[in-house]
Amino acid sequence: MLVLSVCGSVLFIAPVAATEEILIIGIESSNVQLLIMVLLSVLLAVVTIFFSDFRGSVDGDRDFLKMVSHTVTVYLISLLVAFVFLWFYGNTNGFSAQIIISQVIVLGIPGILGASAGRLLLRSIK
Amino acid sequence: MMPMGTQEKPSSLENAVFYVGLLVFMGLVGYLVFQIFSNDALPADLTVHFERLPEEECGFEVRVFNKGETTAEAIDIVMDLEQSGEKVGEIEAQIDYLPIQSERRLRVKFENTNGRCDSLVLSSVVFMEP
Repeated sequence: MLVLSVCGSVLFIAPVAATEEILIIGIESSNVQLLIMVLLSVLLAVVTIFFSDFRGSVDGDRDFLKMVSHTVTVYLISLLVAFVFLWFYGNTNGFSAQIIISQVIVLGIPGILGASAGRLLLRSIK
Repeated sequence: MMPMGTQEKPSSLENAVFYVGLLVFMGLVGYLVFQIFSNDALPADLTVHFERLPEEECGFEVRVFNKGETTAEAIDIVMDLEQSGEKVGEIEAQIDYLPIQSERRLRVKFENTNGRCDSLVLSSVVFMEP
C-alpha cells in the first residue's frame, strides 16, 4: 500500500512541482486558506478511497479507524513526496520555513489525489 | 498484497507511518491555527546588503532580505556606484517577489569604470504589497 501510494503521488506531483504557480499560490495564500487546503486534501482522500467507485476502493467496509488510518498515511506520503520534489527543483532554497510549509500544503493537494486515486489506478492496472 | 476492503493486519512499517502521519497532521493543523490567531501581519521590511566580489574588478553581491510578515512584490532597487563620494554609475535591479523571511541574491557588475568603484550605495527601494 505504501509503495503504491508513493508511486501514485509521484505520478501526480512530478508534472506540477517544477512550476512557479505552486510558489505563487503558497506565497499568496493566507493561513486560513492553507488550513482549508489541508482539510480539503484530507476530505479528497476520504472521498477517493472510501466513497468512489474506483476498482479497489473500499466498498461497504467503512470502519472509522480504517478511514483515519488510510487517510493519515496517504497524506503523510503526499506531503513527503511534495517536499522531496520541491527540494529537488530548488524551490526550498532561500525561503523561510513558513513558505516551504505553504508550498508543501499546496503541492499536497495533487499529491494526495495521486496517493489515493493513483494508487487505485495503479492497482487496477496491475 | 490483499485488496483493500478485506481484513489485513497492517505491517509495523504501516503502523509507524500512520503514527508519524498523525503527528505531522496534528502539528500542521496546530501550527496553522496558531499562525491564524497570532499573525501580526507586519508589513514587508526589506534590508539590502552589499558585498564586493573579489574575483570581479567592479562586481558586487547584493543580498535582499525581507524581515517583515508580508510578501513584497515588484521590487525595484536602484544603486549608485561611487568613487570617493562621487557618483560614477547607476544600476537598477528588479525582483518579482520576495516572500516573508526570505532572501534573494543578485550579482551586479559595472563595465567601463576604469577601476573607479570604491563603493556601492543604495539609492532607493520601491516595492508593492499584495
